[in-house]
Amino acid sequence: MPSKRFGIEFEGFEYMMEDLKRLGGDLDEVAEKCLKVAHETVTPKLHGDMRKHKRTGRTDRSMNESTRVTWKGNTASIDVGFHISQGGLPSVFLMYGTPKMRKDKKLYNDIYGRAIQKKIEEEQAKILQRAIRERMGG
Amino acid sequence: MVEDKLIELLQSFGHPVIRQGSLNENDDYPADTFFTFWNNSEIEHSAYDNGTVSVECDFDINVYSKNPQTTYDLLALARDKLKQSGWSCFDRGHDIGSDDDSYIGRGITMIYLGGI
Repeated sequence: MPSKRFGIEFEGFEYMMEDLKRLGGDLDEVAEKCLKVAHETVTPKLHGDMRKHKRTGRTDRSMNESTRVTWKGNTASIDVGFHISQGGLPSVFLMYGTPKMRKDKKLYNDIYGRAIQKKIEEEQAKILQRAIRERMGG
Repeated sequence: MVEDKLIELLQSFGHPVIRQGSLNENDDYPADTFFTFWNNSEIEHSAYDNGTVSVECDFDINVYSKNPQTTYDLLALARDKLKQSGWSCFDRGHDIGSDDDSYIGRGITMIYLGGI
C-alpha cells in the first residue's frame, strides 16, 4: 500500500535513548520529534512528484497531512503517504505499476527508497544528539 | 544474474512471468494467472579486487489472477520458495492495481543478498 508506518531506526538509536534516559530526558517527546521528521521529509517530496500526475488533484489531496503520532503501549508510530479511502487509490497504480504501466520510481522512492530512509535516519540521529547535548548542558 | 534466477524460480510454478509495465496498452494479459516483477534496485554489497562479490537486490514480485484465491495462494507459495532460496521479505503482501478489472493483483517486495 502506498503509505508507510515509519519508525525510528538508525545505528546506535537504542544506546542513545538509554543515554538520554540516564540524563533524565523526555524519551516520548524525542520519539515524537523523530517520527514527525519522517513525515516532514517525505510529504513535500510526494507532493512535488505528484505534480506530473495531477488531473483533478484528488489523489494528491488524499495524502496524510497529519503529524499525529500514535502510541500503542511503548510503541510510537506516524503514518505517511496516501489515504486509499480518501481518493488515494491511484497512488497504488503509480507506485507499483500494472502489467501495462511501469511504476513511477520517483514516487515509490519518496516513501520506500534507500536515499530517503538514510536522510530520515540522519535527521532522527541529529534530534537525539541535540536532546542529549541539551540534557548535558551543552 | 539475480533477475535470471528470479525468473527461473517463478517460472517453476508454470505461469507466465513478465516485467511489470512491459505490456502495450492494447495487449491482453498473457494468461488467467501470471507473475510480474520489477527490480527496484541492485546495490553492490561487497567487493574484492575491483570485482563485485555480492549484491543486494530489491524486487517487486506480483501475481495477477482472475481467481482471487489463486492470487493470494500463489503469492504465498512464491514467497515461501524464494525464502527457501535465501531471499528475505519485510512484508507479507500488498494490493496492487490491475488494468483489467477481471484480475486481482497482489505483490510483495523481496530482497536478495548474495553472490551474483
